[in-house]
Order: sequence, then C-alpha cells, then structure tokens
Amino acid sequence: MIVEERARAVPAVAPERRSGARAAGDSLGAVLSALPVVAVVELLLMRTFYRVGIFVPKDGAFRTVYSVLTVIGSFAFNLASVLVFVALGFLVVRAMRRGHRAVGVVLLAFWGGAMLAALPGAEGPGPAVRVAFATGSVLLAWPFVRREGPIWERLAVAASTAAVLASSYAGAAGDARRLAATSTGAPGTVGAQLLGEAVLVVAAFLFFAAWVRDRGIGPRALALGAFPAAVLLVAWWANGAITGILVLWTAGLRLYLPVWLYALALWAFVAAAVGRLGDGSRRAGGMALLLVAGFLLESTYVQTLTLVALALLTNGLALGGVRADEPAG
Amino acid sequence: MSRRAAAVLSLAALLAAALTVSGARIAASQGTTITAMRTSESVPLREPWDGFWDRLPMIDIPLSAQQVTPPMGGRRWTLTAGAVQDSNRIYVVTEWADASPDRSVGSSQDFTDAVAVQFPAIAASTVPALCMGDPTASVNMWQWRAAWQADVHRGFQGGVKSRYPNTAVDMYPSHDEEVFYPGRFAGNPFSEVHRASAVDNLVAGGFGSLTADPSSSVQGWGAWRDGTWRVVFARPLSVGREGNVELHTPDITDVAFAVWDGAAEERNGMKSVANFVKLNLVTSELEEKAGWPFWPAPYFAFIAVWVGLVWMLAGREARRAER
Repeated sequence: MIVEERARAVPAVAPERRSGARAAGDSLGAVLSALPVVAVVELLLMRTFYRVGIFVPKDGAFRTVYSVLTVIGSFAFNLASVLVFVALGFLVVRAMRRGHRAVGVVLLAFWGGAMLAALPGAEGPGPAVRVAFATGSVLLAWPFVRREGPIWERLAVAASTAAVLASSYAGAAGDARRLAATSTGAPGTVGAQLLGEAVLVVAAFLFFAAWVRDRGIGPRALALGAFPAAVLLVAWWANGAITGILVLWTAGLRLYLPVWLYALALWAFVAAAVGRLGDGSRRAGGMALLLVAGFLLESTYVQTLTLVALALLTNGLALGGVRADEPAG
Repeated sequence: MSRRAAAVLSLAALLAAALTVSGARIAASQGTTITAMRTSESVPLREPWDGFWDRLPMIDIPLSAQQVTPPMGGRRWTLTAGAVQDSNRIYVVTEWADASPDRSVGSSQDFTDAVAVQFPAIAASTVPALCMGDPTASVNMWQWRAAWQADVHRGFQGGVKSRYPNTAVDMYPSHDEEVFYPGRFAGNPFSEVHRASAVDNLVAGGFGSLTADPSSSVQGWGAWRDGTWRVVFARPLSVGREGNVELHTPDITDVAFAVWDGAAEERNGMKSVANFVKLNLVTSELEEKAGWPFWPAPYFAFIAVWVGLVWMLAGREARRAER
C-alpha cells in the first residue's frame, strides 16, 4: 500500500539527461538531509536558549556557558540560512528544467528579493518578497492539495498553507501601511492571525491523522513526541508569563487557546514527524522545517524554510518532483 | 556522499563560519522596528493627542507580566509605540489601554499609572538583560509617572492637604525642618516637591542597582482620553552623561518598554514588560499628511491581479504537462 501511495505521490520524472543534473540531485539530497537537523539546533540554541538568557542576568560561569552556546547557535543559524537558500536555489533550477516555469520564476523572485534584502543598507525584505512568498506557498501546495490521494495529507498541507496565508495577511497589511506612510492599516489583521494560529493547531492533528492512517501508531514516536509537549506544559506551569512570551518570540504563537491544546498538538505533530522518519520520504524533514519556521513569518529565513518545507511535504509536485528516494548524498 | 555534495556542504559551512565571525546575516527580517523619522516642525510635546502624533508610524508591541524577580505582576498586554526626531531631540510616543487614570501617590493605598522606556546605556551589539540590565551592560530608563506629572502641573500633590482637602491644621511647629522631612532633605527623588519633569531618568546595571540620575534632560507629558493613555518622552539625542544612552542619526539601537497600572496596585517590579525591539533613527522626513486611508484596498487588488496571472500561467503549464 505504501509503495502504491508513493507511486501516486511522486510524479513521473523525466530521466535526467545530464550527469550535471544527477550531481545537482546528489547535492540537493545532501542539503535536504542536513538542513532539518541544523535548523532544529538553531531553534533550540539561537531562538530559545539565547532568548531565555535575556531574562537572566549574565554573570559568572553562566556568562561563559551562555556565550559559548550562543556562538554555536549563531553558527547553526547561519549554516541553516545558507543551506535553506541553497536548497531553494536547487529547487528553482529543478522547476525551470522540468518545465514548471511559473513556479520557478515566482520562487526565483522570492529568492532574489531575499538575497537583495540581506545586502547592507537594505531595509528588510519589502512587500514584493512577501507577495512572492505567499504566491510561492500557494503554487507549491495547490497541485498536491487538488490531486487524488490520501485526504488527511492533503488537508494537512492545505491547513498549513492557509495558516501561512493568514500570517502573511497581517504582514501585507503592514506593508500597505508602510508604503503609504499612513497609520491606517487593513482591517482584520489580528483576527487573521488568531484564525491562522487555530488552523495551525488543527494542521498538527491532521498531520498526525495522516501519519496514523499511512503507517499506524508507533509507540516510540508517541513517546518521543511526548517529550517536547511535556516540556511546554512544565514550563507553562512553572512560569506561564515567560513561557508565553518565549513561545511568541520563537514560534510566533500567542497561545490564546488553552495551553493543553497546544501541548497536545505539539505531541501529535512531533510524534507524526518522528514516525515519518523511517518511511523513506522527506516528509519528516518537511515537518521539522515547518516547526522551525513557526507562525511569525517575518524574516526571509523562516519564509524560505516554509517554502522548502511545503516542497518536501508535497513531494515537490509543483516543481516536477522531489523524489522520496532523492540521494541523501 | 558524492564529491560535489560534500563540496556544497563544506562551502556552506565555511560561509556560515564567515558570517558568524563577521556578524553578518544572509536572512533579512522585517521584525519589530520603530522608525524615528526626521521632522523640522514644532513638536507638540505637551499635547499627546495632537494630530501630529497620528502621523507617526506606530507599532504594536506585546507585553507580558514581569515574572523574573519579586514583586511580580502586570496585566497590560499591548503597548503601541512610535518615535520621531528633529536632529536635536528624540521623541518617543507610547499608548496603552487603561480604564481609569491613576494620578496620585498621596496615600499608602494609592498607586500611579506609569510607563518606562529602556535603552542599553551603550548602543552595543550585546543586548543587556531585559530586567535592569547586566553588571557589564547597563541600561538607561526614562520613567513617566502620572503622579509626577500632576506635581509638575498643579504643584506638589503628596501633602496631607492634597489627599485630605477638608482637614484642618492649626500649625506645624517644625515646618520645613530637616529632621521631620528626612526623605526630602536626603534627596530622595520620591520626596521631591519641586519637580521640573514628570519623567525620572534612571540607570541600572542589574537587580537592586537602579539609580536616579538627577539630570532633568528627559521631559515627558501624558494625557488620558477614552480609556487610553498616550505619553510622549523627549530628550536631546546626546547628553554626554555616563549611563545615559547616546543617540545619533542614522543609528539603530534597542528599546524596551514597561507599563504600570495604578488601579491594579502595580508598582516597582509589578509591571508589564516588553522585550527589546529596534529603534531605527533615519534621516528621511516625516510626511506632512497621513496617506490615503483606503490605500490597503488597491494594494490588495494589485496582489490579487498578480496572483491571478501567475495562477493562470501555472495552470496552463500544468495542463500542457498533463497532455
């Protein structure tokens, strides 16, 4: 059944004609294998530990430990940034080579805009990059969502994309305000963000359902998934205020729903991601990237993570295919 | 692993190492940044509800209860902030919801509404600890109190007569004698009866090190209207005093905020705090008029047209691929 499913999920790919293309596939596989690991390290050290340190006076031995781990986290962030931009670059090339030029051009526009925005003196990504990001997200997800196949996976990807759009709406409203130098923004931005957050929680359960439907429940994955959920609950119980603001900074979630629901969703999502590790697809990596990207999609780094995550979760259907057995290098 | 894949990963690691060493980033963020544009107009410092302030680009900043050190607390959840500068002075405007104005500290059960702005004392790459800074990275705070403003506006409001206007006293035999007013004569800023500013200028380098800087270079004025406080801070960009933040144009520094709700008996560490955000002092001029209020509509219409065109193109390609 799994073999049949994969056959449905991966489009027919034209044989690679050049050895250069195969080598690019090798490189893409290596980058896609390393990226989720580095990104998770970055999430833990750079975005979580570093920010916890903001609340703590840094003196004595803690100062040394803090400095060392912060440097490692900073390196992980830079490595993840480089890898994710390289991965997207490879995906753009693949889309162009395989005749998916519309998607390729949109992703290239985003990639180029993101690179320009990082130049010294540039004032952030700007509205064009955000529009390219939102358009690229939809273009990546749509062929997968509308195809025939497991409904839970399609719903999970659709919900994730809807959350991305809801988050981007608030950003686009801010862009409109900045462009017009006015204090008047578009209506409903807060509502869109709250709705997007709720949809993201639902998406976590949908990923879980898709995993259970596809592979059955794995006790090991469930046990591993319980760990981050338990950490969230304990942290909330110990100090809800700081935990709340850390989650806001790290993942962009306001935690306005009952916190046990977020813990349950985190459990389900991580269990599904861990459970996917052995299935030979790149969905586990895609889910890890989606988790690291979070909901506050304000930097080109997390935006690129989201695009690569969607490409992996949809088997690259919109790009001409990212094969499940893409060489891992 | 193929040699090419290994080379790609090695190059990525080298580039990441170079970025880490140089402090550069290849990811760009449009995160929370307060942009302080330049203005050549007369700034209405004492009129926080003047239309001038509505022209500033304002951002919403999430607050959370201070839970690091006792006394903990704080129940305000959002603050709106903006800034402007006139090449000589920086003006920071803050706004937050508060159902009732609390302007008195005249008795032990009265607590004042207040708001504070915090900067790293030295605009450095190391962001100090949010709460009162570090021993090696001190912070400079400007704290406006509604009670201090009442003192500036109407004269000292902390006396018995202010709190109990119908009280009658025949005479105080020891009026103004140091021994009966130890706080005042020791220079305790809380006992000050001749305030020149509603804003205290404070410096700190960790918990328990908060110190008032007697310099009155920081001014501020607040006004409460329809359940909202709006407070404006003003200070010369440069004051040349140790512990006071030095600002320049153009420059980027960090800035954090805190809010106290007097009605909830908040004082000292019982406050709502915001994380550091960026304050970007730019040379571009503040626009004279606010933009077209319906601007978001054509903006989103343009986006819809763009998405539609791309969608059409992608659909055509997909159909061609299917054929």
